[in-house]
Amino acid sequence: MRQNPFREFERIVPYDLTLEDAERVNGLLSTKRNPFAEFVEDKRKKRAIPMDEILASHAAAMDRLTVAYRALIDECVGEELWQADRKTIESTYAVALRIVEQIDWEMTDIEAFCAHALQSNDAAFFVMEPLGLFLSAFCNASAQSDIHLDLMGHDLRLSLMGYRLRKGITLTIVGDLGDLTGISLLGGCLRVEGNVRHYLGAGMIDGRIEVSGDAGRSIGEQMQAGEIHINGRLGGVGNAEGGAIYHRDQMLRGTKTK
Amino acid sequence: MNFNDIIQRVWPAVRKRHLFPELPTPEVIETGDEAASIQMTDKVIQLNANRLTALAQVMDIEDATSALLDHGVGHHTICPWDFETHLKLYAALKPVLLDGALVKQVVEYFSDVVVDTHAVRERESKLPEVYRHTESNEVTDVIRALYQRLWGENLGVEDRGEVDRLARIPYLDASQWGDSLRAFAQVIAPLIQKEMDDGNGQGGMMGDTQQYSAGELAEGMAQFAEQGFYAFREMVRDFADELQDANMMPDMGRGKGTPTDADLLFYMARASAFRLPVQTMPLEKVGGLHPHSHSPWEIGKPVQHIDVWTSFGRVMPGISQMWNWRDGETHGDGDGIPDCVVIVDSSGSMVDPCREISHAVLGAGCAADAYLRRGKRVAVYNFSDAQAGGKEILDFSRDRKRVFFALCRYFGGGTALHLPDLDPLLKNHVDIFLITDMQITNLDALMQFLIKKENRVTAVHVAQNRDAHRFRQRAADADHICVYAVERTEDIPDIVLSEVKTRFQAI
Repeated sequence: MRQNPFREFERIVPYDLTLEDAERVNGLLSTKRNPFAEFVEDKRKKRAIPMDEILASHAAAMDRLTVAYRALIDECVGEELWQADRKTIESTYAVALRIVEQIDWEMTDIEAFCAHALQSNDAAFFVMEPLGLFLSAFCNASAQSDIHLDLMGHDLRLSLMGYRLRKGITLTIVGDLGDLTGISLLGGCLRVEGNVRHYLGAGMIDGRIEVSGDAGRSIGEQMQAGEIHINGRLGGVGNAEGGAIYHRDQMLRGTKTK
Repeated sequence: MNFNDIIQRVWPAVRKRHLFPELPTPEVIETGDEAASIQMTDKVIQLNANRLTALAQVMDIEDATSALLDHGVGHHTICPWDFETHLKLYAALKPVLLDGALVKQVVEYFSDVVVDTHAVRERESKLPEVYRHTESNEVTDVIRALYQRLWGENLGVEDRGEVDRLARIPYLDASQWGDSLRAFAQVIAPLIQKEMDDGNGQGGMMGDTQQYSAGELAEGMAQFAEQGFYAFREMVRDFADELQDANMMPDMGRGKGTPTDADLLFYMARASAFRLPVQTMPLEKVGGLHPHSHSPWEIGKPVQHIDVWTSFGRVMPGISQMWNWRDGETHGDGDGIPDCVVIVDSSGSMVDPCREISHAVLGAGCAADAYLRRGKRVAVYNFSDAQAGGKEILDFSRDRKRVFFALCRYFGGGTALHLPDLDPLLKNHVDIFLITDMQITNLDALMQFLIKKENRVTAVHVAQNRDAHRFRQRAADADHICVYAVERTEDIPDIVLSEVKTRFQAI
């Protein structure tokens, strides 16, 4: 009986063959030889490295903080418009402090959360104004005395950063910030390596604010004590009740304090 | 120790682990940049013999070779993979850091972390052993500390505070590389800047391993050109060495009104993005036979076809060789598409292509490109006040660089053509593209001149004015002249290309 010369091809169905079968036989076009066997990625060769755990833990921390921020928005904003008036700021900050106490976090999580929040497409971050208060609450609740937040490379400017920064904390922020930066400062030191908008240090009780770039109008409005130092251009000084405002080496308002 | 033998032994296994990348067998080089463990030339990975010798003292030489090759192959297969991806990474960081040299260094280190981590996680690489014996400096120590944290291997460096932030970056997720790179730069850039200030910037963990073909560079630049005129100019400045090495720089000389290399490259890259599909020229029979090959002569086959020179003077079956005859084929005259003359206005009322993007020049470039791609020649008549010498005339040429150089020149003066200059260019039935705002002093003479000619003329004017209206009225009776008024200059390339397409289809 004549042999069908193509019989070998009839039974070769690569997806029918297991990798083990394919490796045992060397003959090309053998019924047990998967010609693509060498291109199949061997899952066993993927090594589990600590990076996987680090990233999983990071993702979990970001999710936790996002949920917390969403809770803040739900409670303080809801379907209404959030306006940065004194009463709203105080009540939002109080809620933020309460939420901060309820969740697990580390300061490194907060640093990463800044970048995450500014580049996330999550609907929770569509309302950005209270984010500065939320982050300020973490800074004030931190046991760390020196905190560094890097916001470089983001187009959005966070407002209300450094709100009620307490004594003993130095908060350094790299990048540009929005309005109401460092308001109601409670003795902490806020350093901004960038520009800020209006009402810098408004109502600050005590402490020190240093801005390496420009600042907008009404700097130090109703401030009671402390120092504000601006290195770049400034839009205008507000009605301060005390403290001192410096433009480079020149004192613009107030009396020199130690 | 013969490193080439070691490479021959190790390379098949490396290829297999990396799923058979299309790379030639690596080489060992004795000289070159001492700081670089790996270099690439024409896609050949070159390992530094000195570095291998040093590694051989402290670890198995085959493992060391294999690890270095893992790193080199990773740059080819994972990150950056091609110049387009490299430029995407560069573009993600350039607006943040601004300093091109610093951006390139950060991208180098970032892609090193990506390929090394990928190799260790998914390719069973021995790279940790190599990094255990890497020379120490500020930046490499931070990266090694990062590796220590990410890989769970003791690389003999102290843990660093910076690693807390670096370790959270998803290096292996290519869809997040832009954000990841920015986060990476926030920590690493100040350290690299310090090294560079000290004169120690070395370009990545293993040296500068990126090396791209001219095709990859052209493709990458064409994509990057969409980022805009100024971004492109910056990129060319930052990658000048790479482009120079690949012979991509036009180097067309300097002078008043001449475009810079960056501007030329920008228009060339942008024009190539507007390309028309290339139509291959069919082969035609020329109607004759020619002796093509030999075959043994057998009885019954014509004796006159025996080649006496290869048959040893004998007529014997199996020994005598006879010619096999084939039909001749040629590309012939092909499609009948004529050459093209592009007349472009560079008077003061037109946009200076070297200051901002000129869609008139881009449109002219698109038309020129379409003809050049069909193997046709393009002549350029770039005019301002031509009668006073404000003109650039390029005779018919297939040299794309020269064509774009002529198109990009800017005179910025008055607007008048010197018609005797055009006569020699329009002798045959060439196609003419005229791009102007029509505020030409001798417009009437030009109209007379064009109406008398039989060449197909496409005139694109970029402004609505009385002269343009007059030109349209006069041209209405001439079938061979087609006038387009453009409201938005951005439309010029598309208008020009659709006209070129219509012409090609009409033939």
